[in-house]
Amino acid sequence: MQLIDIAYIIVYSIIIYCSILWFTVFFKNRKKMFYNPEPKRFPSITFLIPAHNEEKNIGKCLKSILSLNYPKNKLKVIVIDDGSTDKTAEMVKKFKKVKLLRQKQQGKAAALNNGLKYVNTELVACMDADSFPDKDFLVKMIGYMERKNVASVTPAIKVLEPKTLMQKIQWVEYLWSIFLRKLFNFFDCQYVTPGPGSIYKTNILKKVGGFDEDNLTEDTEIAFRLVDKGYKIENSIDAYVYTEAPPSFKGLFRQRIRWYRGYIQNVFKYSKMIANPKYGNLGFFVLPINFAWMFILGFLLFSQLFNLAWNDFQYFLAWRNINFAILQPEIKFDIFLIDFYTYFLFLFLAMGLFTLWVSIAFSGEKLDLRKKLSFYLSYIFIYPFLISIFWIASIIYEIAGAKRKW
Amino acid sequence: MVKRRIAWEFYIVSAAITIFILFMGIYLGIFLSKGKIEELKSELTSLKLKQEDLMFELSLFALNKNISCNMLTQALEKVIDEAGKLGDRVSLYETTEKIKDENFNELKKDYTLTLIRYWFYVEEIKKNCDKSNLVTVLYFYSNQDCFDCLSQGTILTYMKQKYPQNLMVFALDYDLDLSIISSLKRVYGVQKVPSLVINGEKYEGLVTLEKLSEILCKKYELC
Repeated sequence: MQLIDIAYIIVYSIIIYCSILWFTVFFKNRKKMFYNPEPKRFPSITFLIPAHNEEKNIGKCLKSILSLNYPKNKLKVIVIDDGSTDKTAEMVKKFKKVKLLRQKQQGKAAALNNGLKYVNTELVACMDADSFPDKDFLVKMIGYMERKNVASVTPAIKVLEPKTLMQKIQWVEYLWSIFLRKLFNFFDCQYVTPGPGSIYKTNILKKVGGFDEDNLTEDTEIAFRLVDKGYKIENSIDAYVYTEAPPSFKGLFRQRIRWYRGYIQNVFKYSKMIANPKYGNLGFFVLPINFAWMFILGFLLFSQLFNLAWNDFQYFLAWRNINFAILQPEIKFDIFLIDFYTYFLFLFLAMGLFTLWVSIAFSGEKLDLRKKLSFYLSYIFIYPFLISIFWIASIIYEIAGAKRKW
Repeated sequence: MVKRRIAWEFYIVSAAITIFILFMGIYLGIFLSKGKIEELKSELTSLKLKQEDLMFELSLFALNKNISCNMLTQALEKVIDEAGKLGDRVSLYETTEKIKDENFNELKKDYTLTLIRYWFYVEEIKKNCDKSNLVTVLYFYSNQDCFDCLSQGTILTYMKQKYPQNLMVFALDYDLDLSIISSLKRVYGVQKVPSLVINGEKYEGLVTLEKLSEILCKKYELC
């Protein structure tokens, strides 16, 4: 056994351990997955929608919010026009119920804080202009707010009408996130309150000082801060929000670099949480293991690339040396092709398919192989490479100290 | 302020299950490894049985020249082909198996000696039967640090499939700790891998398909 085999076994052990851990969390809570506490009353709520050049989407977004299944007198909407140069403001003015604020372009967090000053309702919801909540979105979430110490409730985000390859991959990824976010909720370790659709208690949000305007991902930062100040974050697995996903690799790359760099920055900012039992499972397990995951992804990507570049190149060379003639196969399928690694391969395949299946089952979707098979296949074969590339690029950018821009 | 707790029970249960899964994998690996060794052993036994059979025929041939040379070569060609296939599986086991059985080294030596004995038989037949178009190749390879060995092996496999009747390849591990291997290396002056000894003549380094075709066609008139 060589060093590389030992490295593989360690990496596989960590992957298996994490999968089993989340599986046990799921198994323990499997009957509570779809449970949302019944709301006793309908608290007043304000939607904050920062918008920068969103003339195409903002109308649809506002329509969907105004037609939510919720008492109309309890629902307010504020759009913060963040220095748009298109007709965003004109579009918003068509809606009489919607308050419009305008500011010079200062970024999303500043826009949210600007809007937060005008909020006098009990709850506040953040929404992106390119996202649309489901009709029952609020009803599913507000029950949690009646619990003490709960500061925020996160929704279940889905990709709207996936068309391109990248959107199809993200469509599956988001379903997986929906499932995983609920497990994180049960394990009390959510560290993101996603931009589109998270709701907060207004007094708590104001007390902790609103959103951090000097942060790549203000939605991660606020979650860390709420956890730090001793508040709970809940999740509703069927409060759906549909959002526009980046259609191209380039767009997705930029988005993920921002997300992951934001994550890295916030982990540094809240590094006191790492391995600190005061912060429960998040500090004790999730943050340290995420750190390990970066190395694992890097290791897997580079070892696979090396494999491709070195071993497969040698086979190619050997094949070229016989002028690409087809050899009669010498070794047929037999016991000699099965070993230790085959076991892991099948194990990972089974775990992957199981994860895919529960993700679909618990996000209210149907398997629908006839239409969605290409989604699943591209997710299985392309996503692991994408995610490794994004993480490694983020780390490189972060180390190189590239200018932090949106 | 919410008091957060660490869910120890989940960590412990998951660790137990993970260890169980890992040990299952290792156990399965060892079990498979043993199974493969058994398979190799039984194939080697049958190969040796055929060898003994042939040995008697060769002895008879020495006594009585009435036995057909063609019959003998054909029989030999068949078993050497078999031996080559067993050799492929032996090296597949050696290069890919992570949990190697302790008996493997013995088995490989046993196999190599069997192969070399076949080579002696062929040389004997060549001498007694005037088989000028029968070409033997001793192929010295290594499983360590040999960039060209994969190519050389592939080229030989290709040629063997092209001239199944007249080409006999004996793949020998350069690093194997056997005195006959050292003697063969010394006799033919083999100092690096890959090396070919074609009908007693040494070629060092990668022998390309073109060069091998030329040697086999022009020198030994296989084509």
